[in-house]
Amino acid sequence: MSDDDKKPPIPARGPDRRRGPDRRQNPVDPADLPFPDRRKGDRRQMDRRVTSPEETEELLKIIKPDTDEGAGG
Amino acid sequence: MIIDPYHHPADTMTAEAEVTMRRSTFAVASGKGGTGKSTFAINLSMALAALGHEVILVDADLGGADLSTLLGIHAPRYTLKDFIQGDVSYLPEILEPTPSPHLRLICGGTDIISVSNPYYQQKVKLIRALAQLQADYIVVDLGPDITFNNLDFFNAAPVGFLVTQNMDAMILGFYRFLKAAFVRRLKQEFRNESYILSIISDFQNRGWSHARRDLIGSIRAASREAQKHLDAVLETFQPKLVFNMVESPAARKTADQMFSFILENFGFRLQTVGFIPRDRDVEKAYARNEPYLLRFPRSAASKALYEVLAACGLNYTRDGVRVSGFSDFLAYVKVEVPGWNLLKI
Repeated sequence: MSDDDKKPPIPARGPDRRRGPDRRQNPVDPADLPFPDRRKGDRRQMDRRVTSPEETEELLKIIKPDTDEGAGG
Repeated sequence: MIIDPYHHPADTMTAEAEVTMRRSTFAVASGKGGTGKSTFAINLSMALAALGHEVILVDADLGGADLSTLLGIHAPRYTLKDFIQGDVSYLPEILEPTPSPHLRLICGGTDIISVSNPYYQQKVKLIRALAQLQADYIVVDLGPDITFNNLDFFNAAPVGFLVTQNMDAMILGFYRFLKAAFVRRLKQEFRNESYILSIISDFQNRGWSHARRDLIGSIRAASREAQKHLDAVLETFQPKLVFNMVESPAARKTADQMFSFILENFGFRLQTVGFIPRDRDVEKAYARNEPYLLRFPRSAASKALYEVLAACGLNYTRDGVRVSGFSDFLAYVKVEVPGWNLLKI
């Protein structure tokens, strides 16, 4: 039996951590990432709307801007 | 430090959420440039320092830091750039003294563009270091835009001030910032509950006419635990709104309308804590890089600032003595003035 036979086998290389399956425990909205989630195959950064045009229109109706007629009232 | 820009924030969000800043950390945001946010942050810090509190003012406007200039400090030894890039490992080392014995400044770094866009880990490192600073009050002046950086700093601080003016663009700006911060806070709070996260994502994707009022009601209806958790979030998410450069009583009507609109649609209370009038004295002091509270202590803006302190329950000296009126407050402010060597007008 040669010395080489006594040596323990070299362990198999571990999985590629970057390319392996998604092992994250916490679900994350890709829109909260400041970059595309390439592990999910996204090529562009996901996004979410902050305000919609209808919402902006509704808000503009309730704003009472500083005007001359408002002064002193 | 090895930085992996693609390291997933989900792993560090948990760590960040555990970093609870002391209750006396104030973030000052606006959602729109030009509202007077930095001027408010400086004078708020100055007022607290005049009452004897140890105050640290942090210039976290990572893309457009200017507090050092506004305080007449033109060549700071260190800036946040030195800490973010690791040249200085201990945040207190970069504290810059000011003429006030009780006010110190952490200058922002604008000389390198990458400081404006720190990696997530650098941001968490900074938030953690801020939480460990030793002071009675820490005032963090944020950038005006809706970025993940500003939203995370705003949410990390227990008390958030929003400075706005009674103009369409400014109100819309602060509303967008506030809504984005609230939704991000909800996502962090419910990060382990995929069903709630899907409700929040639906809310963000659907049209306003369908989505409004659905968010809070749907989360409440999900489970008893979710309802309790949401109520706890709504209890603590109570930003304070300051109207700046006010020219008419119309701002009070806008404040009332915004309070009702936000309570109805998002379930949290937006507390308006002050109306600082448009004041020529503020502009004069600004032009000289001086806090208006010191240059013009008797100005209408200084009086309104005292009223903000009182509305927030901050009108106490470090020894716990209540400062019950503007004239009493002036006595404390005047003690600070000689040290600042204000320019002759």
